[in-house]
Amino acid sequence: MTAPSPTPAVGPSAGGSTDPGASGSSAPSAVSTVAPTTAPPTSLDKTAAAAIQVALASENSAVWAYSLVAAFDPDNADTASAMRDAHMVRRDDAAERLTVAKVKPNPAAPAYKLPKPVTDVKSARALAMTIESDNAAAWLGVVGSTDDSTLRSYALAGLTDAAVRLTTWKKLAKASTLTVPFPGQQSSD
Amino acid sequence: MMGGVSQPSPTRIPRRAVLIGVGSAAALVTAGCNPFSTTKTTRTITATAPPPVDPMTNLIATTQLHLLRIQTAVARGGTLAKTLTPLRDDRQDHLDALRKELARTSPEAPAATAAPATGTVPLPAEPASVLAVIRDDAANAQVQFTDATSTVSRYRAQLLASIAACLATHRTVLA
Repeated sequence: MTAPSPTPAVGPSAGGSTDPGASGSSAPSAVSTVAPTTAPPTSLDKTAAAAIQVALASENSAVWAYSLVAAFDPDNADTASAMRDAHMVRRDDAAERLTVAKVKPNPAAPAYKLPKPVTDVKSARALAMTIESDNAAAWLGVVGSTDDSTLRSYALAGLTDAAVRLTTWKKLAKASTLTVPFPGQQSSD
Repeated sequence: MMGGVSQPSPTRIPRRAVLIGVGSAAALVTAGCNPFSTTKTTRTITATAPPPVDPMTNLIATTQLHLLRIQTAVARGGTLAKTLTPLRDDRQDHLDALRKELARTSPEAPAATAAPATGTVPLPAEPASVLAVIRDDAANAQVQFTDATSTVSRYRAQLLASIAACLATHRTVLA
């Protein structure tokens, strides 16, 4: 999904957090977001800062787009709303990380250009899948942008959340394949 | 007039010599050397640290074992096979990617070139129990891959992080 020019293209989005250390008996939540447990670093190199800006843009576009998803998929409006909230949390946290590192977070665009028109439930769910696929790619980019283990863990949580939400939408859409082997590395769904 | 023999003045130690001696003793003490000590000197030798262990070998072994379990479950057929077949394909893709990455950096590593594991592994009879075992496998593997992500190169970190995220989705599917 992209924002209208001159707003930079937006790709990724994210949401519910997972606890990898949890027992195997409980599945990762599709919407809950794990709050960062450590203070963000006070400095970021340019590569990491640029990657976080991309992730932030992805979060902004996801927050915007989920309102549309909810409107066209009313049966799952609560799910969409919860996922939107999760994106907002991660968006705010990403912006804070940049601010603490004295990097100005790029503002959200007023609107975003959709890859395909949303006119019904099917297209709304397709948009949700695109949001999460792009979001996973953005956070995977952050993982590969830094050697800082704390930032990597934070980005991995974003990646995992997005992947789980993508699978959740695939389940709702009764897709034939619910998973992708390498979330964040595929172009879309 | 009193003649006399002048007496020699007592031997005097020059102040400079005294100061040099005291200063040297202080320097020795400060440096941890006691010139009057009778204890043996301890010499510390720093050994070279062993090279870090590559986490890839263990991750490959884990993936291989879990893949064998899923393959065994799929071979039983039924609805279990339908659910697990896409997950088996994912894990096979993971194993291939991990071996390829290990071969890229350590072509001599046995795990990089080992023949694919075959055979079956014991599984419970009940499908629900089988799913629980495979769900636990996914959770444990997710922990392993997540932990390994923090210490590897950036390229590897992306590979391992992506696999960890996929394992989280497997848990969602199996929930």
